[in-house]
Amino acid sequence: MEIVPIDRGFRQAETFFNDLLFKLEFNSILPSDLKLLKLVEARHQNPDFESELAEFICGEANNNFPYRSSYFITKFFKDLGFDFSHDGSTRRFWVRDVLLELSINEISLVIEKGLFNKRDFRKEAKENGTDQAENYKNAITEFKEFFDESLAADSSIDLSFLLDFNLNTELLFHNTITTKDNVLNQLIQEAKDRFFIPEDQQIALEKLWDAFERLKTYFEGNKKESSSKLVELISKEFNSEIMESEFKILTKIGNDYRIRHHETYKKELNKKEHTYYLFFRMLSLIDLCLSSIETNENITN
Amino acid sequence: MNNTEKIEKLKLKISELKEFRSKLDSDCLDKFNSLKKEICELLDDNQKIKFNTIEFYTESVTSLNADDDDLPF
Repeated sequence: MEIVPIDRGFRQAETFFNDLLFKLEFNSILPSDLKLLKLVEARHQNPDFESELAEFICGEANNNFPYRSSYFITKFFKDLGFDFSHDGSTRRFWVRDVLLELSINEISLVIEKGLFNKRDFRKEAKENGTDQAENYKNAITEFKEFFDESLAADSSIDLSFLLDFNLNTELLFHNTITTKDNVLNQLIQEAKDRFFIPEDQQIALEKLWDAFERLKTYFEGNKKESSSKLVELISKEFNSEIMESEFKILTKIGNDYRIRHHETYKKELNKKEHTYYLFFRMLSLIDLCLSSIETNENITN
Repeated sequence: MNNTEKIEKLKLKISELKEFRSKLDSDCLDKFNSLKKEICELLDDNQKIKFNTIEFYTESVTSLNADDDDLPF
């Protein structure tokens, strides 16, 4: 038996691992990077991601994207700066194989500048006498569905877990953070977003603790004065000693464990159950602080 | 295994995999397949599916009798 290596397979594997490393090494709050992270997530969650994207690019009969013949498939990639020429094989399989070789940055380019290139929609609408704006809108809806389904492809276990904790679900999904401190808002939102990605839950926890430290300085004055004001605010009609000790305990946990600081002697959180517990305990406290601040600001305004 | 360990292990396995790009043959196929298994242990279920769909080689049966004059045709 003779074994012949397939170079394309090794290139696809390289892309696959680059995506994986990008996800594991990810540490950014830039919107453009978060967009890529979400795209990688969809790509990894859905084993057919490239096949389905290929069908959109080819404009198969059952979708809302412009039809592309062999010539236009080649042109599609050439226009984006790629050196691929369709070899006459089945278009969607050929496109799938090309997509499997593209990095996540390149996939992003293919979607933004290629798949949703208005010029192609205009041309198709003109040829078929259809409404360009309507076609474009339907294509966006179809793509969003594909993307959401890709992300949800593996969510049954996580969802059932989340559904067991209604309070947590509320905290994660339903609170829009709109304090006057944008950095604080971003830190909390990023912590929530990242918590959905199993590999990022440690980072989510760190971001949430960063948000807590930021929150302590929400009011004017030094950190101690600001924290005291916050404790006073959340303790109305309750017990300030309890709230103050909650602040202290969570601060201590953040300092003792590898959450706020990363020295080698910091204790590790090895069990995901503890990560969940601390995440939601902190999120509950932050949520209480935010709603108290909001109420207070509404009264004073 | 924490993230840093996983990254280091993955990088090591990736470089091992790359070495097979030009030298993969029937003699080292078993070694290559065990490397694939080791990589799979570092992946989640969906990543495993994705990784396992990648075709790294083709197999063809070479006839030992290709030049045999006694063939009945």
